[in-house]
Amino acid sequence: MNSLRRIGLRLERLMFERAPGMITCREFDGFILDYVEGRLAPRERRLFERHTRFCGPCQRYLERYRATDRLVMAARGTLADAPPADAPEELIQAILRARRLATD
Amino acid sequence: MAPVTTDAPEKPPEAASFPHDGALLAAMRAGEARAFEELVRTFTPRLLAVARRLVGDQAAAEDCVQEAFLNAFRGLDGFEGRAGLGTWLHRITVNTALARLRARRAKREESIDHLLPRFDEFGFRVEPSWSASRGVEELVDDSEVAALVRAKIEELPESYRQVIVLRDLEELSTGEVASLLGENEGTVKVRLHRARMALKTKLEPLLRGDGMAA
Repeated sequence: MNSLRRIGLRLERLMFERAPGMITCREFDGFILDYVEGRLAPRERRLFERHTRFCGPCQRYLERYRATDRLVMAARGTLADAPPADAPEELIQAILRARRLATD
Repeated sequence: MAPVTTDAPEKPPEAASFPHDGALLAAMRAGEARAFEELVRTFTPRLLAVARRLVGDQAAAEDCVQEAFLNAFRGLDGFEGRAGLGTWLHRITVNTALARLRARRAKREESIDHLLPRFDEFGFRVEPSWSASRGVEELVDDSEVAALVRAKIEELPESYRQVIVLRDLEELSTGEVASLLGENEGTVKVRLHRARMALKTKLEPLLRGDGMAA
């Protein structure tokens, strides 16, 4: 990256951070879990949502984080239908044997 | 918690069937060997799957299930029947698995730093732009995707896998997870967030539509 571009990006960063009511991308990260679970206080939620309006990468990240959450929820819903693990006969016999020994 | 039914799988001809939990419980309390066999054969497959999600490998999961059943047999007289036998056994298995994990000396865990968000030298997030080939609502209806998601969760290092399994798959509250793991709620929240971020990275090829092997 050439030095002019670096200076430009640094200025952009400073303006972004020092704009009223603007949080950094790292601070945004710290709020994500509480935001998607609906636990952010109103002021923090406004700061969070304002950041997504101005920060494309964080907006994309939030969408993909939510998509991941959605996939995990769907996987949870299919647990009952998921084929259970095979139960080795040796394991079953070992459990029954251990029970008999414990009661003898 | 994922629902557990008491529908019995196909059994060898010599095994007996008990019409409901109450009959099975009464027979076990009376010491009937066939009742214990029915219980073990019916629930071992699902309990193995639960244990496997938490402890990570087949051998440890089998040990865990054996210990869970023995704990259950010892506690039969105290079982009040408010929940079904399957639910009761499920909870005993979770507790047994976690106790084993706590007792296991923590070995150096694989880092997930490479799976966490990246920021450039100026503190801006680095998150490439790409378009998904399939919407998430289409993906959630795909049973193969669900199996893949579970497989990716199993790839996570133990401490992250535990918290995402207990919180997101077993649907325990943060407080319950903290209590089971012997941690404070703040630690659980941080670990859950890192686990979800790592999982997001692992699932990115799927979200992009690149296709991925389990």
